[in-house]
Amino acid sequence: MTARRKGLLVLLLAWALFLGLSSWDSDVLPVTRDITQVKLIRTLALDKGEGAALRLTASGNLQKEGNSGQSKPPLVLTQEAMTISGGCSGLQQQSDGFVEFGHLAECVIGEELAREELLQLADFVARDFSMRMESKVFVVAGATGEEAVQGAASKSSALTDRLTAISQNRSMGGRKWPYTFRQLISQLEDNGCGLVPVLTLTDNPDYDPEGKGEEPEKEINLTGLAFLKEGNLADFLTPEESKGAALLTNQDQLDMVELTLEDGTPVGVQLVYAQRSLEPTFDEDGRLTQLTIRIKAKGELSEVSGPVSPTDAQSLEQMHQGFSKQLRLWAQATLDRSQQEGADFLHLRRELICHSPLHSGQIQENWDDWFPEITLKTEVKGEVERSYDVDRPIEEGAETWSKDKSLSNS
Amino acid sequence: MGLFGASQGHISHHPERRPQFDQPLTWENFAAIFQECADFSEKELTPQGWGHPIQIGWLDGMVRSERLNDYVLRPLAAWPLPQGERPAQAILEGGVWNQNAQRQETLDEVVEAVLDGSCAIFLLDGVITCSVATEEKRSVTEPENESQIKGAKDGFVESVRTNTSLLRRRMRTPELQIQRFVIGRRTRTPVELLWVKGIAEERLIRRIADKLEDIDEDALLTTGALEEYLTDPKATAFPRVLFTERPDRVCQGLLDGRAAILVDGIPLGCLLPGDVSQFMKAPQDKSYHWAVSSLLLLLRYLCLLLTLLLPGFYISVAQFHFELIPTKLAMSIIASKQDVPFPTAFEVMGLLAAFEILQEAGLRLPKTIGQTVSIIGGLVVGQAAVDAKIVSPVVVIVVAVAGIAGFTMPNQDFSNALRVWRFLLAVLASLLGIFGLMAGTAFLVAHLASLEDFGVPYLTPFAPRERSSLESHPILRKPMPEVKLRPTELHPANRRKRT
Repeated sequence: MTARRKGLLVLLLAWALFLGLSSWDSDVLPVTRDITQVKLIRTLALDKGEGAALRLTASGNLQKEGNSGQSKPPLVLTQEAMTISGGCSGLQQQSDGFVEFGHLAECVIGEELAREELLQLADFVARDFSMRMESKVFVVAGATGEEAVQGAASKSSALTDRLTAISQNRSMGGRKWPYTFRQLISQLEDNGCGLVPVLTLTDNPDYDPEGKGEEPEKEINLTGLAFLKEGNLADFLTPEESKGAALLTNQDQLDMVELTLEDGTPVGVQLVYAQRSLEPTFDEDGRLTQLTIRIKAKGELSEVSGPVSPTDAQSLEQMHQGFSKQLRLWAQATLDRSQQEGADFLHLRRELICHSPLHSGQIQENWDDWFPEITLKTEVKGEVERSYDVDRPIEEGAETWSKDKSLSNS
Repeated sequence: MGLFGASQGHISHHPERRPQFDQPLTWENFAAIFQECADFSEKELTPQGWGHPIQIGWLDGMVRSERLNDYVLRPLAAWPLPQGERPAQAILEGGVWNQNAQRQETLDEVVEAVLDGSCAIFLLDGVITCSVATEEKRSVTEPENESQIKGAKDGFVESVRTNTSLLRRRMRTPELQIQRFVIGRRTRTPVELLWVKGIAEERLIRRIADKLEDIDEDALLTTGALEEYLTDPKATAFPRVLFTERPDRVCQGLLDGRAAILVDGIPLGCLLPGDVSQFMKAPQDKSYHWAVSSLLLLLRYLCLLLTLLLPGFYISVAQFHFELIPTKLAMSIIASKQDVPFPTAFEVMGLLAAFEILQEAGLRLPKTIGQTVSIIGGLVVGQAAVDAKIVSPVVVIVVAVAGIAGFTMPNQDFSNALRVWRFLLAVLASLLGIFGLMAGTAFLVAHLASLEDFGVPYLTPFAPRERSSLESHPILRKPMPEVKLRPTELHPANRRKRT
């Protein structure tokens, strides 16, 4: 290597070092955005706009002030635009930093917009590189997403905190929150129907307007599910129907089922396992006449009061029956509603095709005609246990111990 | 002006003058050479019955007085020269009690012998040198930088002969060959090349011997002088010769088919050819259970990635790809960096530089002060810098983790090379993000793959020429009885290690 070349190499290295240290932007190099300049958006609320088609409200987390432990209310930006992209661009201009949607955790959609343009929103999220398909989707019943964001923002909380808590509580069984954009798009791709969780806003009794924003103005609660039809929000399910929908889609692990025995004793059973299977009945022409949905469920006896003994065979039998009956009622209510509305939001068609591949052609072709007329029947086999009964394990354990020859010999 | 300063232009070849002293071999010429040397001593002695004086010269400090007096001067003084005998011949046949009495023919030989610790006896019919060198040297102690719990406690010292004896005690076989070279026009340093006949490839030994013979230096005082003559120093910052303080490690290398070099005055053994896996292995790896050693090796490789890539990776994600960071971590980083005025790249590189400065300061100072500097520099100044919002705590953690991970490298030279590359990768990451980091890493791998010494690729265990040559696992340590063959890449004359 000649001296001239070496000199050039040194200059090149020095230039590279200068560029790196100065965070210099160039057309050649990728644009540098230091993490300190970034405003992370955690919740995006989408509503029908007043002047334009859409109204976007973006909210971040609580803003921590250095290491002091104190925090400021979350950053909330609002923008009206014809498209979501235009709205995002407008939000960008409002902020003193770079608004980053790559960490979007939830998307809250106002009821009015959800009834009209949910499919387009999902399509935008699927195509936009900065959005996350794993962002959770919620619909706000009777209010706008902006109201939810603004109402939940205080010095001590942001909407994302509340929604994270809701989704974590619902997935205690280890399952991931099932209502994300990925799932939503998958459902809509199938038949334009699906399920989304519903949030409701209520006034917070502890809210004090003079209290310097310590408490949020609104309480946010998850009240059930809504169903989608033709790509948009169709209607809300009743609480029973919501439970049935969750049960039929295997999403309601560890939910509580409250029963009343014949003698009026209230019993609490925790649903720990539910598995469903389909049994279709086709006539001679290959037409589907009946669809039986069998559910096998297990419950853990959580609470029983009064004179009823949890180990009493008769009481247990009553519990089994009550538990099965309750689950069947929920599931049947959901199925009836689905049939009534002509919306296969439980995706029975998809499941049936997998179950009966020989009839798949006919099912695909005739499902829309068959679905309102078939008999949808539910059979539930429920079993209630009390596996943590304090007496039983000790007795069994003691017996096992004494029977173990190797142990007793040693 | 080049990378290494002003170009010196073409320097003509300047061969060493041989003989260095071409005068006739006389006492006057000999004494004149050492005329200005304060440690030169001479004595004129007229042995009983000889009838003429003899001259004896030596260098104080290089000889042991007792030996000179008891085994040279006293026998000479008391020994009557038999009638008709030639004195030089008579002395060689028993006039002095010395195993290394040698007749010298040229002035160069005499000067060299005297410089080596002999005394020169000038007689009427010739010159005899007798080795009476002092053996004052540091005693064999535990290696400071490569100590181990389960294993030998002796380490090399500055005397090459002591070092060969340490090896001989472990390898009691005449197949251990030692070839001597003298390197350095001024220092005349004894250098010894060792190998095991029947295991090491003969071509390898010839090539190393040729390279050693080609070294024409004024002095051989440092390991670098040797390494840079044996390998191409400009090609890479990575070490290609393994220096170790442990004789057992050198023995292991010899038994694998490598060659070793010992240099007088340097308490290190040098094994070559080197490959990357050698620099990742610690001496104790073969002392522990294979599972433990394998785990530690894995940990070391993980640390290698951490020390090399972590600062660059942090710069990349904090400046270009923050969507890669988990949300909670991103929020935590943002909160901690809120009031820091510098861009992330500047922060990281500034702290990396500060870390290097601290490390250097700690090394140069005496141990006790060095520790104080580390504590003050690392803890006090670090904490103050975080409190003053000059750097963010996350960057301190990143740089500290990268630095500490670098300390797990068993070889200091290898660790130093990683330090250089860490900076380069951080610069690339600050320019191009993850793409730059990956491009730099790919370049580094390609660079390492291009290195080869004495026909052995540097990435030998990871990129062998033939897959079948991989007897042992490149990372994990197999149980020793299962490794039956020596590495093929070294072309050993005998591949089988154990039955």
